[in-house]
Amino acid sequence: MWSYEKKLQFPINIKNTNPQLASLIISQFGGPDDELGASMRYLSQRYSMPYRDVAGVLTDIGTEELAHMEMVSAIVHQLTRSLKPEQIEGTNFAPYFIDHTTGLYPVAATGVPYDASTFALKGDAIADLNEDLAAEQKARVTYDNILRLVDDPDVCAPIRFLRQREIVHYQRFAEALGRVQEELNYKNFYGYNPEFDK
Amino acid sequence: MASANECEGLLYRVQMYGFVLDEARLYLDMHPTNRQALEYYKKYSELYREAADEYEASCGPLTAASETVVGDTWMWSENGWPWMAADEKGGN
Repeated sequence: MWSYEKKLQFPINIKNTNPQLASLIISQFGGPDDELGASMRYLSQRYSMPYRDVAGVLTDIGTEELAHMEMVSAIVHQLTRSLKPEQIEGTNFAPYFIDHTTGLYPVAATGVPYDASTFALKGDAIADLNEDLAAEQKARVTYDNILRLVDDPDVCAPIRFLRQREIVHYQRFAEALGRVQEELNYKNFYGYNPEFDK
Repeated sequence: MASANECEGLLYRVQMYGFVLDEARLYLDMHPTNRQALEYYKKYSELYREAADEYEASCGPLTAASETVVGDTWMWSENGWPWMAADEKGGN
């Protein structure tokens, strides 16, 4: 089970609202390489993972991604609190406002709602860990793209922190993949799926 | 109870040590016999516990298993929630 700690993993105190920016950053809550999908995929991949150290890293990174989902949500919330209709009119946030007001709904920056197909799970240790490595890089690129468009230091600091975590998770998943490969036949990693073939 | 500013400072230390543990935990998952990492985790677990105890003594519970009932008051929702901006944390 999980228990809640009443703190963000990294402090977020945004002084100026900015609905336009919120409509971009929400992609890391409900877009194709978001924190919600990352958490759910790692936590779900644990059950058929036969190596307990790799299952441990999936548990701990999956849990940290929940904290990142909370950070992204906190950024969007603080960028959209106490808005007046005239601050919303004419911005990219207006269509979202019509559908969800200022609640948090998982959606991509392009307007596509969260899609469970991004929650990739194949039930094969090598396929899943390669998918996880790609997911971390794609999320890192999304944060790089956000940083290219943002100049508010209150927003940049937590976004830079989240970007850095993608790189660290990539390192740990690379070690996990190496660990799985050590258990397999070096001449043919793919002849056997340790999650199914016994 | 400490002021909002004092609590922010105390919480900052909890966040800092908490993050040190988050980072070292992932490393230890893949390097469970690294003695230096084991020592590091142990040292920062103690610093985290001290910082968390200090925060909770003056600012309120960090987890629901902490001291959430004080006299006749349910403290869990007091002082707002972590995603709130500073000006939202007071009141109801």
